[in-house]
Amino acid sequence: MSAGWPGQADRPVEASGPRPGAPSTKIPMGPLDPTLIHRARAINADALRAIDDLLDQITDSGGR
Amino acid sequence: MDLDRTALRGFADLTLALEREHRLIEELSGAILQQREAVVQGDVPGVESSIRLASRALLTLQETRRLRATLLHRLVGDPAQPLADLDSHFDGTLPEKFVAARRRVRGSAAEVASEVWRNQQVLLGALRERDALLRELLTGSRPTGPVELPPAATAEG
Repeated sequence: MSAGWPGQADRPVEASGPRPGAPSTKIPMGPLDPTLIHRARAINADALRAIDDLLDQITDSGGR
Repeated sequence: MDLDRTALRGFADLTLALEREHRLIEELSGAILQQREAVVQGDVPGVESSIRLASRALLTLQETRRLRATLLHRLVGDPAQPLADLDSHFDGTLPEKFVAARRRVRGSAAEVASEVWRNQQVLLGALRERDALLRELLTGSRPTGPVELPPAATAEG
C-alpha cells in the first residue's frame, strides 16, 4: 500500500498525450533533424545534375 | 540521310524511350512536390518517402539515358548526339511523334528542375529555422533579426 495515497490504483488512468482539441504544441520544423534535411538536399542535388544533363542533351546544339 | 524504314524504326524506339523518360520525370516531380509538402508539415516519414521515390526515379532515369544513347548510336552513330540536332542528320521532316515526345521531355525537365531548385531553398530555410530555434532555446532570445526564409519557401504555399 502506498503511503498517504490510498486508493490511487483504483483511479482511472488518464491517457498520455495531448487531449483531443487541445492546441498543437509541435514546434514547426522541429521533427526534421539536419541529417534528414541534408539527405533530401543531396538527392535533390543529384536530381538537378541529372536533369541538367538531360536538358543539355535535348537542347544543347553547340559546344561539341 | 534518308528517313528510310530503318531510320523510322529507330525513331519509333527513340520516341518510346523519350515517353518513358517523360513518365519518370513526372514521377520525380511528384516526389519533389511531396518532399516540399512534408518539409513544410514537419512530416518525417513523408520526407523519407519522397527521398526513396526520387532515388528510384533517378536510378531508372539513368537506365533510360543509357538506352537512349544506344538507340542514338544505332540511328546516327553517335550515342551523345543532342536530340535537338537530329533534324540536321536527315533530309525529311522528323516523325511528328518523336518531335512531340522530345518537346514534352524538354518541358517537363525544365519544370522539374525549377521545382527541385525551389525545394533546395525550402530545405535551406528549414535548416536556418531550426538553427534559430536552437539558439532561442539555448539563449532564451531570438537572434537580432528575423529568420529570413527564402521567398520560394513562403510563396505559393
